[in-house]
Amino acid sequence: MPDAPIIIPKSVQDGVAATLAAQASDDKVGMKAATAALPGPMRDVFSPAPDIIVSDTPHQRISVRRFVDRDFVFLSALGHPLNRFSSFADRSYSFEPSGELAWQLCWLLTRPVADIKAAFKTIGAEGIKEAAADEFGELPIFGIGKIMEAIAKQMTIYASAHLEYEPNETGAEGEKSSPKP
Amino acid sequence: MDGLGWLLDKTFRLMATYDLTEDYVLDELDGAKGWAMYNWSIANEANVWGTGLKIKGDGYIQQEKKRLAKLKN
Repeated sequence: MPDAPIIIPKSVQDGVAATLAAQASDDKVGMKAATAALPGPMRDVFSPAPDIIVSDTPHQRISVRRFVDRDFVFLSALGHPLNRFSSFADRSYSFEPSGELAWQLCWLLTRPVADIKAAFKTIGAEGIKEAAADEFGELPIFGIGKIMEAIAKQMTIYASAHLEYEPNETGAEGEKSSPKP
Repeated sequence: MDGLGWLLDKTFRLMATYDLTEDYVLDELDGAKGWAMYNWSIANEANVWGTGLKIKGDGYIQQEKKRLAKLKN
């Protein structure tokens, strides 16, 4: 005896179709996300273009380079508030688009580290503060704002790669750690 | 974490783990990439007593998974 045909109510057919369509849509979005560079801190850290070009005209080229750790030594020598890692990592340092502290940041982050080291040897911290004021003090506030925006982006990349740690109470296989001798 | 003590720890851990010079770590190595290398060295320093430290919050992979999930929604 042949099996009786299975009759699926239209409401169920519609429901299945809607579910399949929703899953296909989710998969499409998921596949798109998975084929992009991983959206996490490492995408920025390993960016092939680490410098941010702020201005590129025949008369002026300003690019903001990545932070290197020596910058904290420079910032300390200048007595800049951003030399404190906590103000850097938790973004408690608030940016002003103008003023001496902004000019000093602009001066530091728009030139190679070797030039900064040489400047500390030749003109010292006070000389660098004056050089920063000469170079950036006259720029319109819009221009400084653009550079500071790029610096904030570089700060974010630097801070996003930092992880916090706490003591581990268990061993590699989950066992309770013995005190080290 | 404040002052420059963290910089000492980061610099010398990178020098010891990857056989880098102090000038390379401080002047040439992208600071953010330096943190990634620093964190990798901590994650892979397990010995017979286990690992000394564990990440507080999300590591890089967890952060990426969460951001992927957000992209899907």
